[in-house]
Amino acid sequence: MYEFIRELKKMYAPEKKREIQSKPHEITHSLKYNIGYIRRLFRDSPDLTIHEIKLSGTDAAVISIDNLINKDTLAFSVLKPVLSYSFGNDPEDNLNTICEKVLYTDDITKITTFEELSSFILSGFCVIAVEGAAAMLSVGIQGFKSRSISEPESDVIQRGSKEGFVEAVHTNMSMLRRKMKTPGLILELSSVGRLSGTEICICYLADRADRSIVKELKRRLNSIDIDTVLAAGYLVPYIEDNDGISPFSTVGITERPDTVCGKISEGRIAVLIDGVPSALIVPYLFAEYFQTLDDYSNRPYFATFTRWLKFAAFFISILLPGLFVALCTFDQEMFPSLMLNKIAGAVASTPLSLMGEMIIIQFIYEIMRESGLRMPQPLGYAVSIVGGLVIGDTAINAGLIGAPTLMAAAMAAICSYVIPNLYAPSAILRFAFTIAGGFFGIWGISILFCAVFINICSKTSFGIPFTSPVTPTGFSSFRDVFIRAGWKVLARNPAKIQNMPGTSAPGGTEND
Amino acid sequence: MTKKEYISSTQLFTLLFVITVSDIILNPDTCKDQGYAALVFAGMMIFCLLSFLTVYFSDHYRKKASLSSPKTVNSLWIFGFIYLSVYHLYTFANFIEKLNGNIIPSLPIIFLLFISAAYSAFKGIEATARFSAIVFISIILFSILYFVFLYPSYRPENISSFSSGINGNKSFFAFITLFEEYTVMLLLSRNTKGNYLRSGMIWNVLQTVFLISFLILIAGSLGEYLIEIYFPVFHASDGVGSLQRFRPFFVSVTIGSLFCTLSTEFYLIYRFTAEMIRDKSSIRRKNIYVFLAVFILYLIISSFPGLYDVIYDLKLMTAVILISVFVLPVLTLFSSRIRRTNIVRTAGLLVLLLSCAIISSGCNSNQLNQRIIVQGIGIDRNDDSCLVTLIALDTDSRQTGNQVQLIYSNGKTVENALIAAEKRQGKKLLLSQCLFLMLNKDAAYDTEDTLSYFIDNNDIMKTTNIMVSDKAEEMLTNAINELDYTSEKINVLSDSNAINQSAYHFSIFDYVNVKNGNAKEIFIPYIIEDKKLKCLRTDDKHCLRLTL
Repeated sequence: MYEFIRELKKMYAPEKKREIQSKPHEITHSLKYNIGYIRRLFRDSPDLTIHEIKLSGTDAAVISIDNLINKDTLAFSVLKPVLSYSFGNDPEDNLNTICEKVLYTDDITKITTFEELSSFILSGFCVIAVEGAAAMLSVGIQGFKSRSISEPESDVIQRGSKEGFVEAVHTNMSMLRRKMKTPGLILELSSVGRLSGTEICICYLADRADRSIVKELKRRLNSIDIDTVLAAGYLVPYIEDNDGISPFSTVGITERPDTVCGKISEGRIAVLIDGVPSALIVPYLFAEYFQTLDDYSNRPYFATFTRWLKFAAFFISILLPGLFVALCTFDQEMFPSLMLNKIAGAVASTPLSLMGEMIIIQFIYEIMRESGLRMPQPLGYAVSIVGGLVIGDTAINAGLIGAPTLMAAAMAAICSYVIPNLYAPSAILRFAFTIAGGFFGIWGISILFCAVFINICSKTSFGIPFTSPVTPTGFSSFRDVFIRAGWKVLARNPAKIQNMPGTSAPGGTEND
Repeated sequence: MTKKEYISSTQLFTLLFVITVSDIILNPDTCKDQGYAALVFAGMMIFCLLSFLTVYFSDHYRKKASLSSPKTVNSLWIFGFIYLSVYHLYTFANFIEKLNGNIIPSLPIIFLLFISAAYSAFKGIEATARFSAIVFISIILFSILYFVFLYPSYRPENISSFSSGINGNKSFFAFITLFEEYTVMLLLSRNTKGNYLRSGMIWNVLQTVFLISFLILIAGSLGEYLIEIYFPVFHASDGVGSLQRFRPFFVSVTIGSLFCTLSTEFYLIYRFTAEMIRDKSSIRRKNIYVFLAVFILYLIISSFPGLYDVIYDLKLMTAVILISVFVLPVLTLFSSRIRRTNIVRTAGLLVLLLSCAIISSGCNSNQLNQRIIVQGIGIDRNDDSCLVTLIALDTDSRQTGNQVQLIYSNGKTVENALIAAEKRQGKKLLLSQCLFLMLNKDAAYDTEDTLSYFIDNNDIMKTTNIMVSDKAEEMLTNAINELDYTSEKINVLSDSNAINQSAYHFSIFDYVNVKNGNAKEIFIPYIIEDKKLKCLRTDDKHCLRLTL
């Protein structure tokens, strides 16, 4: 449908101006010119270090950014061997000799443009420039401070690893390598962000991931036109399929390397981002919101029970406030007499309508939640006291809000924490269903429910329907959706879990 | 090139099944007919045979069923599906009013459904087909619940009282249902992949089994009673009163199935319209004649008996149909001269303004404290008037516990007295919590007149107990004010099956069953006040015995 409207728009839309891409600025033979250019490029930044040296009488320089490099490595692995070696007269030969015979490190790259130079220097490399050579050597001696590996805060599980991702992408890559000791694990580095130049790493298994999905992901990442990438959410809109406005995302986010490894083994693709302790996972389906790693550690019957608990919690969190308002306002006969008596007494003693009360309670709850997140930890106790006593007790005694209404709102809020990844959509949908129930009763809730589910059913994640395998139905994939089958069953054909294309997919694999 | 949408054959036939269910729910009058079941079954068998032979085995015919048709044929399809969507919205409006009375205005709900279905149509047929699978699962679950709670009261002998035969109106509605299913099947066949034959046969069997067992179960459980009342089962006309609690589930299944139906219709309307706009072929004179013929045909059909209600009852929809059937084809004649982007923007703005106007007009509120929650009713009839005593929950009381108040009202009939009580209190009655009716002897002897209001009123539960006393007003006043009785305690006197299996027990449901059956006598528990023990009790020696 939208294709037709886009066709009409294209017929009358003005042509976009194409940006003229500038040619890369190549390094010259003159060391003096090169150093001058670098100073101007970095605007004489105080942390730019240019150490001028002599290589057997030839001028040279070591350029780096202070605090990004490891000074011990610079001194012992770069400066000491270079200064103690006897070089010839040919600058190009000298450069090759430094690269092949002199340096005690392995991460050495020859660069020929100032764009490459700035990228490497800002990534913690030092650059060796020699008078007369139209190239430079970048040497990896990163030594910037980073956080140590700790337990992730949002992805909490009972059994399993307590390691979570950190900000350094290379450390995250090493964590994946440790868990997937197979040469088929492909890790491809690239960068995004005009100003930030953030490194990203695409991770997938060569014999499991669908080649067309990998290609499409790379195309989307290459087309990102953004200044900075400071969080995982910056990339999500560029990676998602363009299915219109929706509260649900078709890109998964996790802080756990074991979760990423599990997803990769199903044929999915992960994207690690430098500076962000999270990984993006594509394709991501609706059923995966209800899966955690604990499901696979526990016995199948208990895992199935908790899976159903999560489904119920999600629907309670979005529907309970709206249903409560709808039934109390339009269909009072649904309630048993005793319960209706209690609710009627509570409603009669409060000044606002039931819908208004419910919206206000939810709004206050969201304010408290947000303030609890932002405020310093020592003050967190004050928030809990204020929330519990003032809102929970005093407001009811004062007759401002009713106890049944507060109970329904609190139950919905607690249920929303069962699936943290779905908190954002459930918070918005809760308000929407409350308004629909307050104005139109069960009819409004049913219609809105249909609209929300149509939105979910219309989404795709890299071509795979978001509601797969429930619809389109894939019975073999049900073993990990409504139930969690035993591992002997799950291990039979992991690529068939949740309709992911794998070795049997028509798209083929990297090795085809 | 527009990206082509594909659905599997299983999804297509699931969608058709859901469309059929929506027609059954919205038109139970037609579905109470054994003839309807036979018509559907026979028609499906014949058509399936023809369609599978032609559509599945004939590539030539499949190409003919495609959308690359001339503008005139497209406009006929548009007309057909616009009419179908209006028909569904009209029956849905009637359905809401019968199920909900005047508590919620139907027009905003219809408009909300219209907007949501249009949004769904814009998302494409794939989304609708996937969503229909979710609705299908809901229908199956609902059917299981329905079977579990209705089967215990199943009476095979009641099936014989089921009316049969087909009249013109019912045939037309049945035809509408069949026409829609088969045309949707044909038109979507080019977007369908998979084993068409296998999926179609499964759909055929499933639909027939569901339809026939559904009808038999309703007929066998409730008999003649169903003929007059519109889906009373969801107002607890069954013996145990459990099905009323499933109303939200029933509503959601209705909305879900209707949503799929409307979404499919809107999608096809939009697709044909898009095809017409894209079609660059020139308009010939004969096309204009066909448009005129379509309009005249519409006028002729609209005067047909039975169709008149459908088209002219919904006043807004008349304008929509006229605009769509006449203006839309005319617009396509001049489509190359109009800037298309302006049409899309203007149409969007109009829809937005219209939706704001309609939605803001229907904000009813029925807060609990604005209703009289009736727990018991006493009725005293004399020759020319009726005194009604209501035991109602006192929601204005600040004391803890369930305080009740007594409300007295006079009127010529029971209904007049209740309406007078509403006007005096300024609140609407909520009768669904009423546990018992206490009649005096005169009211009990004139049972039919006394109980007619409660039988027709869908709010009151049909499991409400009936008891008799000398003077209901005096009995209830003493019980509440002096003997400190509650409504539940009074109700237990009649609902004494739990205490004494041989005690008399009588409810509205029992009365209707007796009236529709062969029994000639009814026995109503007789309540007296024991002055010595200062309590109410049933008279052990006799009950009120009435001959019908």
